[in-house]
Amino acid sequence: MILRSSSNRSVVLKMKEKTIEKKDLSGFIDSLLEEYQVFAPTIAEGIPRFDRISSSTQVSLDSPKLERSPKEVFFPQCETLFTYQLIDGKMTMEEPPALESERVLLFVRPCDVKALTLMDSVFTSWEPKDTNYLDKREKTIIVGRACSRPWSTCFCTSLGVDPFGKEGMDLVFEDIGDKYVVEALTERGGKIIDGSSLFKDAEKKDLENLKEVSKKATEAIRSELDVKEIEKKLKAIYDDSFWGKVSEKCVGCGVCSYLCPVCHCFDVQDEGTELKGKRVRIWDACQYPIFTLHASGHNPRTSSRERIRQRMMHKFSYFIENFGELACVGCGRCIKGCPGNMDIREVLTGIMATEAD
Amino acid sequence: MSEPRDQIREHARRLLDEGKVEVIIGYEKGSVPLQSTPCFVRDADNVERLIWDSTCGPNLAKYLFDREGKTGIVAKACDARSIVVGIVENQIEREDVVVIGVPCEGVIDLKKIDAVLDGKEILEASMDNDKVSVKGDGFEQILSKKEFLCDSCISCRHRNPPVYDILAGDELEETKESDEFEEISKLEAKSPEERWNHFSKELGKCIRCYACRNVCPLCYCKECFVDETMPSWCGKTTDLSDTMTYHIIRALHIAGRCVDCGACSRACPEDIDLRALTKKVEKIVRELYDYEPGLSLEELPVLGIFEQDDPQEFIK
Amino acid sequence: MTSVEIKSESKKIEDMDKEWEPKVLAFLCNWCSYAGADLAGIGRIQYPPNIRVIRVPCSGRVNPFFLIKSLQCGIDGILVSGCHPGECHYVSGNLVARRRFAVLKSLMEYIGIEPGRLNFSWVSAAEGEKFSRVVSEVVKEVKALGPVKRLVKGE
Repeated sequence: MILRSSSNRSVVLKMKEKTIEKKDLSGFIDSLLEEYQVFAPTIAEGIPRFDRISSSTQVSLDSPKLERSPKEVFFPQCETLFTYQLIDGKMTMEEPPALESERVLLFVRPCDVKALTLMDSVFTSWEPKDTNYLDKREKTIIVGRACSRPWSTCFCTSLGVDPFGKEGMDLVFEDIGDKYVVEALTERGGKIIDGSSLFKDAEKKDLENLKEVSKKATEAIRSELDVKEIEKKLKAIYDDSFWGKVSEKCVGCGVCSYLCPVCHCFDVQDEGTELKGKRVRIWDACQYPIFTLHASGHNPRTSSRERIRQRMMHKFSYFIENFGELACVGCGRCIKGCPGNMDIREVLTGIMATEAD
Repeated sequence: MSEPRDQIREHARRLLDEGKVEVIIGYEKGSVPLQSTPCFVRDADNVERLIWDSTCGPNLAKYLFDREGKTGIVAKACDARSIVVGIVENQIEREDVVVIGVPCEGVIDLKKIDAVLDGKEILEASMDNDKVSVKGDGFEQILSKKEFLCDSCISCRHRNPPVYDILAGDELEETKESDEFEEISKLEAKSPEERWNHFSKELGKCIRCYACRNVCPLCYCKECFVDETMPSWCGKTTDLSDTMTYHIIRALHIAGRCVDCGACSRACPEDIDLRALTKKVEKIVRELYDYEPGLSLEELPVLGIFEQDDPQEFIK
Repeated sequence: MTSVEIKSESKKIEDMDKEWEPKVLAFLCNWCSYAGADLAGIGRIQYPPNIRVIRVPCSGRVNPFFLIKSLQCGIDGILVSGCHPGECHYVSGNLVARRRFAVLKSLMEYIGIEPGRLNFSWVSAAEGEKFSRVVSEVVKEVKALGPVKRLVKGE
């Protein structure tokens, strides 16, 4: 992938594991704040989400709900692409400035980091690259955290995501009780812990603990699905009556797409007058009927049958064709968020069990 | 008398067997504890999937709009009232629908239960008349169902469906224990500035996913005003002015129609207190025109009609 | 009227005077209040020049969108004026509108929009005097409230 080969993200290091006491964590975060813009899981108005913090006290690692995905740190729900203004008969256009300094994104789960690498494929692996996304992505150091507490709706392991996986991270924190095992995976990751006296070399005992914790977490994931060769299956059942049945209860809102860490579709809107205004991009969702409404009035996806099929085809077939990977990481956010309790695990099971007509 | 659930199954089986309906829309057990999911039964052999309990929150009337063919539907009182509004507004054909009405003691609000469990996740749950027992990793708790009902159920004045073809279960006594507009009165007592700040904060959370609109049976417009582009009345960004406009106009559009089923509040992923708006328009319409929607098939939409002596003190 | 037009109208008013003057948009029914405004003009009856008139076929044509969009665009006050009950050119347009306006006004005030921002009146074609009085009242009230802030869309 271009992003990774062009940045030092690709340099995989084998550094010695370190540890940090949990009580020292806030000291570490505060020291990061002196140098970087820091984004971390916080609780805003009762909703856990990744947000820019100004103090370590804002960080919430044991939120009562699964936090929102960190995609908005790179791909905000609403983002200005350029502004324009007519001054003395001349139109001037301005793009928002690039980020001035490096940012650190703290404590992202492996599934969400995986999701970011999938978004990289979409936004940066073909021309033209999405400069808005790329700028934020390249200037952000990703600090992951091993997921030692899966939720009942998690099914990452069925899709090849490891709750203790480290793909895409620069640095990883792994919870082993009263301390974290910390491992730098890239130079950039190593840079932010270098020279800090809070990190000690890991002892053998710590690493043994880690093995145990990781085994336990992986076992705690209850949902097991078989999605082997699902892309072939999907092609075979494209016109099956299955889609009519499975989509019947979908009401066509955008919750699943907006909560999904991988969904990346957007709409472009112009706002303003002939004198002054801006072009913005906002999240869009494939379950909205107007998502595919043509200017002519024709809509190729007229009912939830076509729309749900599209959602599944995109994630489990087209994405594989384009990038060789599934566009779902099994985080389960859509399952809990759906007002009609449409469960993607059941849809997947249904797909695998359907025999082509 | 058997349980409402068994009666629902029995009626569903009969209606399907006799060919009175093509499909029964009801609830089945969801994939997450304490959640039900809409269920479409076309085969009498599958009626065992149908359930009835305090998890049956979604307003199924949603699925009657734009549907062709004879349909049986399990309807608690607020769903039945939504159906009545749909019929009154000529969106649903009365003779195409067989309403299996169910008297309802209220549905539980999962968000309220999650709030007291403080991050512990429910893995198993069971219910009886007034208790919910929840189990998870290393905990087991028995909760009083009454304390975890949806706000709209707590203030509910119509527990029995006003219109139905078949009633499953016994009629319940209506309650008037609390003041249904208590929360609204509290807000009304505040200064305009405090109210503005309250709504700015609440509606500022909106992520424009339109779950509130899409679960609402009465939001059936072919093209919603937020989706209109020529002209574009409401910006689609998350700018506060735009999100407020969206919610204000949605509240206006359901004024005199909203039956306070609470589906929008339950669906909101950001936990926005949408009832602060919908209940207010209900109150306005009640005070001005002494009208409650969805109670009678004879009534006309309250904002589509008028009286010569309607209140007009606000007009100069 | 599009937002572009509303904005350019409001800019014209802005340029009139250096001292802050409110911008008030008046939606006037073609059959009564619009003629009432004409009558005020013919009769040389003075009223503040802060209003910009949008002629509508009936007060029933006034969609709440118009009013909310106006506030979003930075209009400080709004007047909607139609025919007295019983005098609607289309029999009952104003009566149906009356219900809609009652709900709209209550809801907007509840959200926190100052009561003086949204104004409604019945002014017949014969009431030039009343038209002038209503406009004076509205402008005075909006002036006292100061520039609109709530619901205005940021640049």
